[in-house]
Amino acid sequence: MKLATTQYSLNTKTFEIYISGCIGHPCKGCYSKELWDENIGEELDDDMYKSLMYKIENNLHIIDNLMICGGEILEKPKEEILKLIKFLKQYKKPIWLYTRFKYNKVDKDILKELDYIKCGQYDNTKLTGDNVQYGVKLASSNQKIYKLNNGVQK
Amino acid sequence: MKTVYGAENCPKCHKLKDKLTKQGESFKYIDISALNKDEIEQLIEKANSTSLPIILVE
Repeated sequence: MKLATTQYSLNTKTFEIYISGCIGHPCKGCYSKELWDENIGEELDDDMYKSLMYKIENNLHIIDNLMICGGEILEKPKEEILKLIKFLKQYKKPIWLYTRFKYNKVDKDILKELDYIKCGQYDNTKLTGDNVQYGVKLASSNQKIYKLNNGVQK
Repeated sequence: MKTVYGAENCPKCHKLKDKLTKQGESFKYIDISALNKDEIEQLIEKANSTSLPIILVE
């Protein structure tokens, strides 16, 4: 699993972690085509975890949320996904995960570790300006954010 | 005086910084990790932007 890049969102004060690779890339009008290739970025090995730790700790005072997105993280091996989520949990900030998959297709062990999950494909035929959930503006009307408590919708 | 606000992992911020330096412009560079949350809110309001880099001319 490779880390393509990280980014800090000023408006939501979110530290975003972009994982590369998306098989089949089915989202109509995908605007993250540069992340389709799973070879983009650096292997998330011990050194990269240290680098990630440095970046997060250096910005912890301005981080309200931690987000994993891509690419499509849920196509990666479950143990690698859980390792990343568990690593992020030490910072005691809400953890968000963005996926194109529907809620009922997401592994329950992964759901248990998350605070929020955004489900549903980006679809440029369903663009909307008013799909705002939990303070986040979602691009298409079919997308939904679930707030979770121990893997169950709150 | 120009102030450029950027972040360590923001390629556009580094490009802008390099460009201004090459052009010999006088500017101050502030990494957003040096700010607190209130200062970030003030920056967003002042610049009317949430995308880095941000340039303010004062």
